[in-house]
Amino acid sequence: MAYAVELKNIKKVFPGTVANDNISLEVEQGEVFAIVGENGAGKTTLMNILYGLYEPDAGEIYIFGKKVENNSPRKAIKLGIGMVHQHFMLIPKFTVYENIVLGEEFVKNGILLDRNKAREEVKRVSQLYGLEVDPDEKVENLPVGIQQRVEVVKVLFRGAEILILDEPTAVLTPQETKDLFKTIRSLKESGKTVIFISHKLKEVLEIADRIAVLKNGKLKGIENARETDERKLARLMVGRDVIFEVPKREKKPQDVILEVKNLVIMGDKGIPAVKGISFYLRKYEILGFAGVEGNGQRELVEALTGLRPVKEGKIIIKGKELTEFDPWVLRRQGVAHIPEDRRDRGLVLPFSVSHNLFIGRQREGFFSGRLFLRKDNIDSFSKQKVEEYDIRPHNPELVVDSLSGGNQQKVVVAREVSYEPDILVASQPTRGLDVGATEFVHEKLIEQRDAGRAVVLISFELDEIMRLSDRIAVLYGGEIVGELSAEEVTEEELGLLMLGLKRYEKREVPA
Amino acid sequence: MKEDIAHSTGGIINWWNSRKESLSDYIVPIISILFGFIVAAILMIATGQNPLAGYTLLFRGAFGSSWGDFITLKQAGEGLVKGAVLTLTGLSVAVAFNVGLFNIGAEGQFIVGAIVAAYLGFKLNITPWINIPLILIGVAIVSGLYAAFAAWLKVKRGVNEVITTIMLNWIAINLVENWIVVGPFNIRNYQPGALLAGTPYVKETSRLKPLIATSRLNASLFIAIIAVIFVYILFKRTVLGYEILATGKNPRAARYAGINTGRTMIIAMFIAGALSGISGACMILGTEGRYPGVFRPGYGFDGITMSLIGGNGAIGTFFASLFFGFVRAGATNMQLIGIHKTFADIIQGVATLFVASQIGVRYLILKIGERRKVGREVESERI
Amino acid sequence: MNVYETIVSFITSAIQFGTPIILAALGGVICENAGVVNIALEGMMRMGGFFAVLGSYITARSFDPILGGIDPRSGNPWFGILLAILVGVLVGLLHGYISITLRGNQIVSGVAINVFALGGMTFFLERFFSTTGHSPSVASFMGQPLIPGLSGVPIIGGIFGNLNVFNWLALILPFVIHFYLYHTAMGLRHRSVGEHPKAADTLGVNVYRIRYIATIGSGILAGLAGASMSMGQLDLFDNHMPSGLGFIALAAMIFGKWTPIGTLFASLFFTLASVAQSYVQSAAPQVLKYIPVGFWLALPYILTIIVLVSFVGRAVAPAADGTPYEKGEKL
Repeated sequence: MAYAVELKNIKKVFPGTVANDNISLEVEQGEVFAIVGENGAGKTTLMNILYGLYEPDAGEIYIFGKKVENNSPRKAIKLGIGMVHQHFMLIPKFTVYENIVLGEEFVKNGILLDRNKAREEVKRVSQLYGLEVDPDEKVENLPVGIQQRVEVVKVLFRGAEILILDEPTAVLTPQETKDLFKTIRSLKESGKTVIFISHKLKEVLEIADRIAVLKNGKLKGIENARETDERKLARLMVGRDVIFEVPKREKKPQDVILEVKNLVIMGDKGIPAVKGISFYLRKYEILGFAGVEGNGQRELVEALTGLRPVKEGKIIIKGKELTEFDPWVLRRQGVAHIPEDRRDRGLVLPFSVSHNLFIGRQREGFFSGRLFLRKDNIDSFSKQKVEEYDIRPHNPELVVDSLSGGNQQKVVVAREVSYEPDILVASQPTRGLDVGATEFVHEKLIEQRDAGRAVVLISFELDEIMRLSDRIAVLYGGEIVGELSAEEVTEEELGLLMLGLKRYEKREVPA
Repeated sequence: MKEDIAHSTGGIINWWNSRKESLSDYIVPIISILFGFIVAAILMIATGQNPLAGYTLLFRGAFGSSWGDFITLKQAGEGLVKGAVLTLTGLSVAVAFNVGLFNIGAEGQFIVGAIVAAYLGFKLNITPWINIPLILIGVAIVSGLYAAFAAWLKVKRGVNEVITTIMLNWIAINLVENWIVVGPFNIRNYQPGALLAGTPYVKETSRLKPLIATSRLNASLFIAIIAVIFVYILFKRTVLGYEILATGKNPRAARYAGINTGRTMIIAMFIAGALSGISGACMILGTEGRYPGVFRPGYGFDGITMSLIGGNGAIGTFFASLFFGFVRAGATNMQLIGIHKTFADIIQGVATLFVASQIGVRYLILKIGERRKVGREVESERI
Repeated sequence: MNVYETIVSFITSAIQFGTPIILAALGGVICENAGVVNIALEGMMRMGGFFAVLGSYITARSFDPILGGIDPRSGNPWFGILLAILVGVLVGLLHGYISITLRGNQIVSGVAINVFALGGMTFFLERFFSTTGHSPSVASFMGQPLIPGLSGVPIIGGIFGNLNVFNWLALILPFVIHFYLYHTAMGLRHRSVGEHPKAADTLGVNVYRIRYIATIGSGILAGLAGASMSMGQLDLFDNHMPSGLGFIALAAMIFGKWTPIGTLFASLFFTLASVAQSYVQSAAPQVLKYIPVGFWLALPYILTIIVLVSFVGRAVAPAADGTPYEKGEKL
């Protein structure tokens, strides 16, 4: 029998990088085939080629034994390929059924959109595979897990035989991931082929039959899931042994430096996103906030850094209650911020590295007089930071946009740490970074903690939270549903808390 | 909260952000202007005219027929005066662009500046060295505030500045020309029975006098040059310029890092308004002498094209403005063969079209170049 | 005038004055709902207005018995509309080519078209009519009710009996476009391209084609809007046309939150203010002693700012409005 998918010598070049270098692989019908690799290894590019979004510079694609020429999404859909993208391809303002039928609409009387037929079909498909969705709900009102379900229904609605899932668990809780795996298994039973892209080795070992490892655009090997293990895959993926633990010195928390009392913060839609939370933070400690995306993390970070007004409650820094809430005010109080999206919120991309290293501090006497910038000081400062943080290439005059993601994040971290803040708010500090850069950022955060600073860490990666935090607070529905010490917590328990299936009473602030 | 409306200006900011300085920054405008002339020539041919004759007239109109003769000085002066006025509105638009705002309101700020200059020029009568700076300061403050109002609405209420500045244009035009100039500040209030429409003439001490007797060229050229140097230093050297650029290139990152982006936008827009206002003042104190009955030379709108063709920088805008100042002065001469002086707009419009496409064109060039380069690297790797 | 007549003439003049704004603003609506910003409405109107007159003029055949020569009023105004549409298609294509294919900057392209139209139409006016003031009067739809029979019908006759072809278009098209955008399969795709072109592309929707349809459609509507001024409100092209109405249309589109019917009412709102002003001027001229005419003329614009500030400050444009889309962009 022919393979479901056969890729022969696929090559794709982007300006400056070879995203896929001569990749050949076969996927059998009815198997769950995983592709793992670090960010930038070329996984997504390869799948976008298979799905017809990109045209390969060289190579051939066969679907069920038939060669594909002039591939396009439309053609891929016809051939039975469906793709669930890492960043959902859903239109927030549209309803679930509008999103699902788009491009394959039902029409009555020649031109009219047949909404009833669309609703029925969506219901039928979703029931067939046990993926309940409400066709009339607007996508922007759905939680991420359900949005992903909509994506899967969308693909199945188009009669997909081969499903590509691009990093599907990145945004899910452990429990939601279990549900997803259940769905994948039932899809497999009904004869569908699933291609599963991930960089989480544990998950891949659990769900996949076979695992392909990509590194720097090259295929490093294909392993049978039953005959391999995490260490072996990691070595293929990174090219060296990976340390799974960050060395962390004993904790020695001291005085409380930040106190938050009954904080209420409004979300974008005018309803409270954070509903009366209280917590405290001490020097020499990292407080991690775990939780599924969209449970008030963004609003909390924005309030702590002065980007969003506080509706009710108090923020007390070093014993003084905050009365003004603007980023420049908070910075003066000793709060620094590593934002979650470095390209969008952390850096002015067309600026040089040097000019990015002192944004926000430009009015300090070191960087400027009353009117003019002090060029000499700026140059020596940036030269020193570039060396200290090993920002490559070692040239502070380069436009920051031309740096790799890891080096861009180093610029942000260097700037924020150079404030010598009392409180460092780090929001998803390693999102999209490769293993090396992630290790670097983790080391820096621990270093800050050990130097006596208080760190607030917000992350959707449970591993990261568990690895770095001294204490872990779990956010669910805008409330803290549990606050635990890092030693006593298990992943399962955090998962239950994150889904709101369990909650603890609030702990009091220590005297 | 305070998020911008993701409308018109989003595009231009992204476009501006995606630029990196390179040689083509200078080549693209020149090529664009060249295409402007070519397309305009085709239009002349299509309507049965000789473009060669047309352009000869345009050139003579701009620079005179031979060096050193009487007409040459007069004509060249005309181009420089126009260029100076264009420079100021062009810089206005450029400063706003650099903070991420689209100042379609330069025209309104220009008119506000003109009427304030007409009023102060009429009221103040000290010596020119005190009179004129005082008038310009007054104009800068009023026009600056008029423009800053639009930025303030954007910062505080999230109202798109494209719409507010358009509205403020019409408000300025109507209040000035249909009320102030015909009503409280009409010439007939001071000289009953005057046959002129518009406001009375400003005092002699308020006039920017011609520098050479044979030409209308006046000190507005120096004012424009000072403004160019001011804007250049602002962006190259000053803290405020740094804040303006950071805000314009990524308002979110600037704010996250602790720059007061709202205040920066309002200040930048104030500077923009002041520049447009001074431009209007230069015309009133220089060539016009008073606010005429109807006064809409369109230099505010032209400022947009000057800034765009000049790549939104001080020097580029200056040269684009001088160039089109000459084109405009020269185009008047084309009237001789029945071509209206707005012919300059055709060249300007087409040139701007090419400027608009430059990212696309440049990107294509870049992509082809990169592909070749990477292709070669890959091949050599294999060997 | 009794109350009924006043109301009727009030509404009629609102529709008549509002027609160019409505048509141009609709052009903006369909363009921006597909993700292409169009601030070239002003220039497109100007071109449409000129070429409509030219179209009517060049079809003139019969001789003027009094003045001699060809009587410009003997042409075919429908040919004028045709030419306005054709020019709209061409300018729409141009804006589309720069914005879509070259992924150029949509605002700069719009500014350029406006500047070009300003000089270009003056140039043509001089070339074809040897003047920079206004064209001669041509055969037009001014004062030509499309359905004259309606004027006899009670109640509605007073209003609808006077409407010319452009007025009817301005009243009907908002609903047609609403139907298209919200009730047809094509409309769903059209909006999806404005919201999230990549998502639409992954589902096989042809993003470029829809965007071209949108810019061309927008050119046609803006061209008609210009024609409605030169061939509906007047019977000639005046060099001041459209004197900023294209920008007002842009404001009406935003005020109407990018929806066709919202835009219809927003446009009428702008018009009502100036119609009210002309009524006060004729009905109670003594008021003008206390409130100068300049204030009245500025009033619609002042009101617009107030309305934007207090009601629709956070109007949300289509998510991808103004962003060029490139197939195969690296994610």
